[in-house]
Amino acid sequence: MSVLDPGPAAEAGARHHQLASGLPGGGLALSCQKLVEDGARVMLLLAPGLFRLDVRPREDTLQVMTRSLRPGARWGTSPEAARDYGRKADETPEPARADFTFFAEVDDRAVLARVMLFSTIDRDRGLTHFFAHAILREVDPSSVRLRSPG
Amino acid sequence: MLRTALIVPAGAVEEVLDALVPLLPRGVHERDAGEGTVELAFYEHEAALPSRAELEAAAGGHALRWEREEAPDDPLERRRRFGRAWEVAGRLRIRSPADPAGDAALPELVIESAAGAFGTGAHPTTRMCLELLLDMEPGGPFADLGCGAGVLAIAAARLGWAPVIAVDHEPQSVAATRRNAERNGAAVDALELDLLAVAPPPAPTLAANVPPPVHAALAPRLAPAVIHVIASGFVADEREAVVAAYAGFTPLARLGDGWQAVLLERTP
Repeated sequence: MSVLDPGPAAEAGARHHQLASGLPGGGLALSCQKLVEDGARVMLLLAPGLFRLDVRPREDTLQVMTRSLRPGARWGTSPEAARDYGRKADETPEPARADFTFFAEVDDRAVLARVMLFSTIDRDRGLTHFFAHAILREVDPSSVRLRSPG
Repeated sequence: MLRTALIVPAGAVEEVLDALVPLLPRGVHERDAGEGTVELAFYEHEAALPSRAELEAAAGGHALRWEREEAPDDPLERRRRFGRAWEVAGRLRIRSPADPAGDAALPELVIESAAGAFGTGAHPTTRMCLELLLDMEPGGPFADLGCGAGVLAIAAARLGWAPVIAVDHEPQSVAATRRNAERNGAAVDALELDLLAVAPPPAPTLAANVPPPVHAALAPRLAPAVIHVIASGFVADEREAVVAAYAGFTPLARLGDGWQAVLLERTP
């Protein structure tokens, strides 16, 4: 499946130092890390022909902007996704974490992506460390159930 | 480091950002530039900047003006120089201590986001609560339920409500509210209180920017003295259930598409 080819993903995300590689048995892994200034909207992941993931940290709030690059694609998330942001850095040594899923039909097949977003705030300098990782695999469309974002 | 800014019509912001953000690894800062326009600014070393042709293509003909100037390398220095304050309904300015002070044209609150306290005013729900608050006639006791960093309580005190009480179940939020109230010269009494276990203070005007389960717990325990409630902290799909929890109250105003804020009034 061409959208799971790591070559275009590596090329499209090169400016952002996105890493892309194939997976055993088929699939695509993407990752990107950035130190983001408070208030800046940045791109973290780009899967050409499938999706883009942007974030904007601002004071106590993390905005996550998901972009579908394929008509009919759907995003899902866990309800706990946004609750930890801004607190973990003060309370535990673990990063805050948000998980998302992305599903798209591609021709007569389908792709399911699991996207993980980790963040830790350096409040004194107004910066947030982000690490985003996505695993994309071809799946049977009938096997997928997504929870709506919100 | 160079700072490049383009001014675009507010209606074109999403389209321009969609094209601009992939070109700029350090990202794009957005702020209201007045008169229906928005400034999109980014910082980059000259050698790493996309070409002017790439940037103009990303702007898609929407750029009304381009500006470029030298900027400090250090992010905090940049913030002190260029600032990231925000305005609420053109009537109130909110900034962090790291932002430069504004001119005296608008009342200004200085709110520090500290120790994980929510509610600095950056979140859409906090901004919408402030908009609703600004449209009310100030006066009498006010309580901010789930106060976070205290911006609603501090705004209420500055607008003329008194006495103002702010409660939160998180000690770091209560501490942040006290610090911010002192910083802004606002008379706010901040207390630690678990709204899931204890009835809210009986002030005639309440603001509750809290998740739906907290609304569900506090709404049935409101004292008869409570007349107005600014309720937020929920999304559109949750609004009906949250409003229904406030039996005996009627919605007077509503803001928001995704995140929501509602002004409720006790039905006579």
